[in-house]
Amino acid sequence: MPEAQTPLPGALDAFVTELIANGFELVPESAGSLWSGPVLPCFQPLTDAERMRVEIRDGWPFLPPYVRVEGLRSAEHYGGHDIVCLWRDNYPGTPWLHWPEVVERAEEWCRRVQRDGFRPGDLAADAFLVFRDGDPMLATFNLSTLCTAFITGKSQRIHAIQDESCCTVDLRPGKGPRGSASARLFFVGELRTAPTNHLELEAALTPQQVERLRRDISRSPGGPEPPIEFVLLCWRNQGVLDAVVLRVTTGREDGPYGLRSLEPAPTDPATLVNRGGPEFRALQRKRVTLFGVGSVGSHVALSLAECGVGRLLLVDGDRLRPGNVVRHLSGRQGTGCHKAVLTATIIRSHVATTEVTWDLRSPFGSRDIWTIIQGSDCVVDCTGVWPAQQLLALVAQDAGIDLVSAALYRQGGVGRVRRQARGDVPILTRGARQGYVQVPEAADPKEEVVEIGCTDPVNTAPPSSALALAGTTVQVVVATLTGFRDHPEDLIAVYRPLPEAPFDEVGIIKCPWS
Amino acid sequence: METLPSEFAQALSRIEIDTGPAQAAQTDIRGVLVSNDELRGWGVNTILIGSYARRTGVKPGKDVDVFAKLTNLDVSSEPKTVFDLVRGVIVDHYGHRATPQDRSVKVSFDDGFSADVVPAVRNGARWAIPGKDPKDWFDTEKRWLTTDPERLTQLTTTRNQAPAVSGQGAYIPIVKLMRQIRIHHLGSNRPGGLYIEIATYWAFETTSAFGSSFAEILALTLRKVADQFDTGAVLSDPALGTAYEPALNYGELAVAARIFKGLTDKAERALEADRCEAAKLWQEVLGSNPNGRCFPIPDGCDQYGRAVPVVAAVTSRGPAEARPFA
Repeated sequence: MPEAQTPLPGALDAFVTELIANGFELVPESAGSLWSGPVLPCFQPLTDAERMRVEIRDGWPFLPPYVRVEGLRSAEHYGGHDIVCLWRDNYPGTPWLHWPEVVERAEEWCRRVQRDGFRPGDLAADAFLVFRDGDPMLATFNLSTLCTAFITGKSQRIHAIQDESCCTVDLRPGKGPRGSASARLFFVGELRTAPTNHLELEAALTPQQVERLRRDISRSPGGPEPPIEFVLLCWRNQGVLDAVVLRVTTGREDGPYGLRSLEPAPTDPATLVNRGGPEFRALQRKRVTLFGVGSVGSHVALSLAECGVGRLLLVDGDRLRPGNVVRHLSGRQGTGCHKAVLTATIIRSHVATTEVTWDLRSPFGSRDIWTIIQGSDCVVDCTGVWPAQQLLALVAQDAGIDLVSAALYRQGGVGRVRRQARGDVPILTRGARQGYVQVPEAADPKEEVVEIGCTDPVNTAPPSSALALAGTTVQVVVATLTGFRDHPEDLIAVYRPLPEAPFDEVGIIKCPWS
Repeated sequence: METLPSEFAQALSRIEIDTGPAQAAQTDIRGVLVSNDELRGWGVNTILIGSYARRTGVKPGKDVDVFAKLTNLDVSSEPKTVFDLVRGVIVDHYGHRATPQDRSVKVSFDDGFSADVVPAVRNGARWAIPGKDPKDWFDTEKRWLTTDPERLTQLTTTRNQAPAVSGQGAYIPIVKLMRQIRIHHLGSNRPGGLYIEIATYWAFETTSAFGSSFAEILALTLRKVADQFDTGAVLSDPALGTAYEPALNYGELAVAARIFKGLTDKAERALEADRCEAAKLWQEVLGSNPNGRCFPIPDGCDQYGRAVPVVAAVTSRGPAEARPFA
């Protein structure tokens, strides 16, 4: 075992001194990483082990040490390889810098095991880590489609499709097509500690389930029903559903079969949107029409879908040129295709909950715009084209539909997001009002870049400005859709200082000024 | 001058041995010996001797010496008779855990710990143990060797009264540090731990100005011991007043001198260096034991002697900030 890598060896040495003072000795050949000492008194009622180990890991002191105690009985929060789960790895602090604090935490852990119980927030559904033998593949599944009813003693036929190139195994209901692997789902009701090997698995099953399992495993490979290759074990722990996916291995010397755990990765709709943000469900009912699917708009469109917008209409007649790729959501392979179509395709590969359609026009007719935006909860203008900005603002105002307009200025030095919702000053009247600023044209414009095939000079705003503006735009749109007015009507972000005040400092300018 | 008092305190705790197993072994052995009628008649009693008794032992500290004093016997007794009975009693009781040696019996205990039991008879005000070689037991001059382990223990206690560091006697801690240095840099080669301990004793006896820190005293002691190796002066056993035996030969002295001179240079450079560089030098001097480096790196330094940021301990319970996500 190599020595733990730490940028702060002084802190580690102080901890090691305390370990030694408390009877710990370095395990030979462990290069300072693994220490053996007398088991703490708090663990004694829970184990027959007389000694315990402390492992210093890479990343000390920002990662907690592993505290390992063999044979803890009836213990939750007791990981694979005898690790006692005292802290999560992502714990923001270093309360383990000194041995007495580790002891105090261990004592609290023991109290919870023996008397107080753990809180639901302490739970981690990582039973696959506890299993003795691991498998490198990822197992995907949607429990709600695999199992119609979670009844204790349930046993259900399922199958697995393996994708070696992606290292995934996808579990699906029923008997699968030729070439798929046979599998079985078991539900065992309430289970406090996950099994770590095949014996503990069988102990968790009902006798009928055990019989089913053994029969499924021992079937002849050449027979009409092949032996199962995977087991999906499901249970509840304090009401929370947990599962482990196991690959069956045969031909072992230590028993009729063995099991290796795969990392489980649910694909049910709720899981797929867990990371979509707190507004996801509310946004599912919303419809957004987005004009301009270029360097800003393409990223806005994807992000709005990922945040949960239920219906998205992309309006843009432009096609992707090779020079666009460096800022656009789409890659080189989309050159020549319509930006709206490319963006919609990418959105569909990311998000299954957004219905995305497109309109391959770049309309300037007010009636056409009116028709397009009907039924929208919000119009998003990412055209970056002045005439389109004016027209969209006017038509949206007339239609009574909220509008958010975003654009970069001064070669990406400034980005502006303007909201026009009920109660806001209409965009077209802001220029004349106090408290609103216009981004001035450069007094000494730099030589512009002209590109063959482009009518207008190329805007050399960097991709970073486009992405920054897209992020802010999405935040304003989401707030607008969910009825919040936390942002100012005009939000101007200075990414690169300009000579002119108030744009001469990096930061945010909020308008109207109060 | 950077004297790193906290780090020296940690180093001492890292080399400290737990005397519990030694006491337990001694008690166990005494119980075995006193259970024999004849030994009881010989007035058997046991004490710990050696570095355990003087509190100068360092890790791993897996060997302890037990002195089986036969208070009713003296040097008129036959070494063979005395040794055979002691050996027989111990072997009968401990079986395969007992390994008879030339003049002692080694008893093995758990975790690699062992106790070496040597019988002793009175020799005037002192004691005597059987001659090193059983063949010598028939030689009237060599059959008993005079020894006075208790005297050395008394001298150690007295010597530890001054100088002091932070109110604690400095001699015994310095002996421990010197023993650790010897173990790391000389290993199984001579001089052994007792030689170094006695050399340290004379270094203290011949010094009047020590300094007030372990760093200064250790550097000074290393210089004196290195000089003693270099000159080859005969080392006197302070308990017996005779030359320490067995003496080192010329080659052993030369090797020891070279090594200890090098260590002295490092120690003296450490006194002139900044905190982090000093710690690195003391690490090299003190070396390592089964638990790794003996001298800790101070907070704010890395293992190369450079300054690094100091980590602030989060002493409050619970996270001090929201859980991060990227």
